[in-house]
Amino acid sequence: MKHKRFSEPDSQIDESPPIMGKWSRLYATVLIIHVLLMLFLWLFGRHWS
Amino acid sequence: MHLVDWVVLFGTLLAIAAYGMYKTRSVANSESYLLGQRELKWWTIGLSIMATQASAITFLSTPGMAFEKGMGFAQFYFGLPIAMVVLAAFVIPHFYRLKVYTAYEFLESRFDLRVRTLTAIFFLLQRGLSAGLTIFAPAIILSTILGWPLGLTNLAIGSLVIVYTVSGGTHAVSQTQKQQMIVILGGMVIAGVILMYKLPQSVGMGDVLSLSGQMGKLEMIDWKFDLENRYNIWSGLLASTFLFMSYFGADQSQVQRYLSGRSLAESRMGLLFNGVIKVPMQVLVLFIGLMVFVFFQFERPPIHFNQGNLNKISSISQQGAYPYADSLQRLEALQATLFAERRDALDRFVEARKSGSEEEMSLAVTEIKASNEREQALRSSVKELIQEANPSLNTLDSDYVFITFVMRYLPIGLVGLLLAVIFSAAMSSTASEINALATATVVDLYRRSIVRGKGDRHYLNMSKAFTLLWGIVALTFASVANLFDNLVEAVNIVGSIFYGTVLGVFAVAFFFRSIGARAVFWAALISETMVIALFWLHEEGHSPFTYLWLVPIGCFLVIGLSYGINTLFPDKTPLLLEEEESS
Repeated sequence: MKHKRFSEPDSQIDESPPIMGKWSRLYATVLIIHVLLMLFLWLFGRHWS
Repeated sequence: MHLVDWVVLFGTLLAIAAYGMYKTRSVANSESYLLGQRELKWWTIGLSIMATQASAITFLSTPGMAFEKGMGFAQFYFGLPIAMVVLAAFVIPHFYRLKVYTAYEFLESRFDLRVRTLTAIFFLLQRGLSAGLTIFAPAIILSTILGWPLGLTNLAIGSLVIVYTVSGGTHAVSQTQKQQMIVILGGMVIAGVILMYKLPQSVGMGDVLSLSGQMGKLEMIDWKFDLENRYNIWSGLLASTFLFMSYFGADQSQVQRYLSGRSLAESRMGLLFNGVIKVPMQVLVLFIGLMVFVFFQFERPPIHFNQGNLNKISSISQQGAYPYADSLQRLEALQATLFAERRDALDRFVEARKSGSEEEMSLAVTEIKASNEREQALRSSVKELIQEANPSLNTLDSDYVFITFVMRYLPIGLVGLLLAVIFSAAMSSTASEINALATATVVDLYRRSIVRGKGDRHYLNMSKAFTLLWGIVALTFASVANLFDNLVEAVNIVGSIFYGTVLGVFAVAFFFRSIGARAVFWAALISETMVIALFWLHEEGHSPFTYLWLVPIGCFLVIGLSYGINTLFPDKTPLLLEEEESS
């Protein structure tokens, strides 16, 4: 019987994403897409207003 | 409504429900009932998450918001991708490591049973209320269309959801949501195409955008920081991020969706998929509302979109010889004259755009704006008339704008399909809600604290019984609910009151490891009381904080108070998980 610590790493946590190789890259991509989308919406609104 | 529409509507809904029941006929233990055997791929998880969040309210209220106020509501969702990344990176791994059934189960491992039970009860309170509203929203429409009593309509909608959710549990919810989401997205795209097709031939997409922009409907980003303004980029990026972290990270109706993933990677991908798709989807729904606005510039709109209200004042007029019907007719005649003038200005606007005459265009825009303002004044007069005739009637009609367009202007067959979109959305979110309510009740309260040590069969049967019970509770709330100012906001307000506190508890659990159970328990109770007081103060006009800010306030109150209490009265809750693993 063993206890697992709250912060203990787990092999599943290290599983790579199916695309882009690293989770950090995927997170950054999602956030960059979001920033670009907000920028687009702002410029789009300005252009037509 | 045409027979073909009825066939499309009920055919779609029954086929999806039957498919869900067929696919889940082999559910035989409580784990597969509550977690769907943890076998879902990321796209099913992503669609299931989106279907849970996108209730019928989304497709009724959101186009109405764009019609009335423009696209600014999109900013509300700006915090969502950020929340998805934070949850995928920091929160889901903890849930997976512990193999929990519910988010609150994790809190017992980190704190103690009291904290788990308290947060589970907060969830049951707010989600139980919201589930009622999720059924109530489409019930209003159908009852208006069919003239059925509201209670009977609620029952008709809720009973199908209850049948397949009780039958197949989480797996049935996920399977049906995939189909429902396909119907929803397909239906909305078709609605957008039809709207464009229904505009006069001389009007192109450039005219639609130019007209919307000139009418101030395309201002999607408001940079001004204003606590009183519900929708600006700051409330979207700051306050909404907290709301969505709480909703997706601590609300069992969402947590249950991604906990049923095949692996941690699948669950993370499902959340990130939602982070990328959700904002464009909301922009699309708002844009459809905008198209409806432009459509009703060229087509004479009803003077009041809730036909039920107009019928009632006509009926009162006939019974009591009050001249409400005459007044209404006078206002409608004025609107007809106004509309004829506006059509003329609109034609000149389109021509001026084609010829590139800035001066002509500016002149036409001034006339169109003035015409819209006068029409708005006429609509306000109609609302006053309705209030005068019967003060108990709700005069806000923005939730009826989109459905009015669907019922009056879509071709046969597509009316049924668009109604199926709205009902699919209602059913998908209601199914998730009652499924999650039952799971939290069984796992966090019944199996943990009330009846322990029984066999799996007993807990499976109790899970089904609690699913049925929560379905009935939701139906009961739906039957007694009144129409709030705006249904989307009503649901979000109920969530905001509880989410901040629950998020604060999770934030302490993840990021403040020295803080113990006693401190966080009392901090949560005090914070919730203060948040409710703040909400009440705002309603009374004594506080500047709109509902969205209650989430970060509640969250930081829990963190601050629990830190203070823990410093004054140190608590040594061990950071060991209680779950035992066989070595």
